Amino acid sequence: MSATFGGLSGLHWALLGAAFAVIGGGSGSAMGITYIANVAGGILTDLPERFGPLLPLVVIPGTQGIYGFITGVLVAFVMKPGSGWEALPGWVGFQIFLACLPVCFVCFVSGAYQGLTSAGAAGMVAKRREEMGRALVLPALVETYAVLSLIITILYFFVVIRPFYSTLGI
Amino acid sequence: MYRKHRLEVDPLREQPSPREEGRRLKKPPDFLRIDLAAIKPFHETLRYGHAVGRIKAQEMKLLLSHHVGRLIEADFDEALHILGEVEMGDYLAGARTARGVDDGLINYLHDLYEFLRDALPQDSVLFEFFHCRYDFHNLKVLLKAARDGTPEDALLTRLGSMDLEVLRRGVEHPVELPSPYKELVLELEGRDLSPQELETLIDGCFLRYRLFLARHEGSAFMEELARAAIDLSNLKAILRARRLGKEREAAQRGLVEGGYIPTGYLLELYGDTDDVMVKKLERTRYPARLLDFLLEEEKPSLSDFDRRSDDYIMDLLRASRRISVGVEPVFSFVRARENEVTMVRMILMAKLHNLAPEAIEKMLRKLYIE
Repeated sequence: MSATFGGLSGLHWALLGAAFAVIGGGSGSAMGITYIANVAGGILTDLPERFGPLLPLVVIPGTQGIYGFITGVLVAFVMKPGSGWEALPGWVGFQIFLACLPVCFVCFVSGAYQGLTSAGAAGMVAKRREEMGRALVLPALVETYAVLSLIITILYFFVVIRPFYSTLGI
Repeated sequence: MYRKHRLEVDPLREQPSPREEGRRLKKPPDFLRIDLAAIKPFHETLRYGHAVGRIKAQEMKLLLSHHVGRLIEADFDEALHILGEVEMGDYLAGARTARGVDDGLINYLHDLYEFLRDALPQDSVLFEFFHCRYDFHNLKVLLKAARDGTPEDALLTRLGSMDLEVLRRGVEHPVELPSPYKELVLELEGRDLSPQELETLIDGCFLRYRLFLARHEGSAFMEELARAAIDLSNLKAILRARRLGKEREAAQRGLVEGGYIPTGYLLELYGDTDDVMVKKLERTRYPARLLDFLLEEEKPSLSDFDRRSDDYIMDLLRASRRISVGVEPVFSFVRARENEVTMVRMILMAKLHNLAPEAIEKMLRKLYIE
């Protein structure tokens, strides 16, 4: 069985996947938070008392970054550190890399778009404080797809990839 | 107060904006090209997010239809009391005369533009888009005063972004003026024009300059409004010329290029009967309701066309409310506030002249938020 796949070892593929997930999720969140924070900053200039209702809207695009972080940590767990993970075959590492891609792309895109949706919803909170609940529902709908991508990534890790490990004796 | 935004090109000539020129000079290779339409929502949110947040906080203080309904029925003092429920009331408290009302509303507009200047990104031309109207107005007053010796002070407004002294000096030494005022004054120098012709030329330059600014901003929405304003101005010029029985050539001089309706098509309308004119207008992007008042037996004045034009523009602004972040909500908010000022001025002046509520109602415009 080849130790490398496409010129990279299993460890390299796995780390690349983890890095992609963290970069994708983190970048999406950073962009999303910037968009909503821009609008929220404008509202708070004139209505500082709206800080409380606006905070959840500003925070919500940050979850994609957390999903990327969770994926990065899970990669380390999937590789079972200290139990021969340096010898992880290239093709298994590549599988881990592929499993990271849903979080990488979906969190990047949904984080940015969630920021835009939150920016639109912030207008509702600016006008009527009591609309906060409804305003939060709209960006939360975008969140669904980030959560689904994380679930798929976790499923790949623990249902598809981990069972191979026993056959490899890792 | 001085213009914050200086344009480096001559806006009176048809030419690409500096941004477009820059793009042409530094064309990236194909593989690096980004579809700007795809990233526009993100770009607009970054650019106008703060301003949108600020106007969302202010939108609660807009005049609503229930305020207007009560204003129409109230007497002058009660009207001022009702206006106390919105932001404008602070500016009108204590106004007793037409002059007092005007002063209050000018202060209100002044603060609105200052708010806009504060909220907008530094490189936005939106501030200039709204302010240049007053600069052109002041220039018009000063040029007329210089030619005919008419008194100027009472007609000048302090809402312009250019200092009045700069404008006064500029009338004598046009090269000291920024574009497009410099080109305009140079174009008018030495020409023997009637006050009406002078006004037409300046108004045309103003409309073309706004179209230039809209294109410079790269906003399809602003461009649509600027072009619609040119069309509506052209239609009004045609109607006025017909009403005064002027020659076709005289009507042609009042037309401005740049609108959606070609000026040649408008000149065709000039010779048509009223009903044909209304039908032909239907073939353009404008609704026939703009001109259907021509078919009424009792011909109303051109102010009815102004009201219909303002309502048409308000419909465009209302349609932009589905865009949550971008230049559109900021633009619409400022235009809505200007519309409010026009309405309140109309109502209060009517109250001072004891007009009946029914007569006031006929003059009113649509509101941004019903």
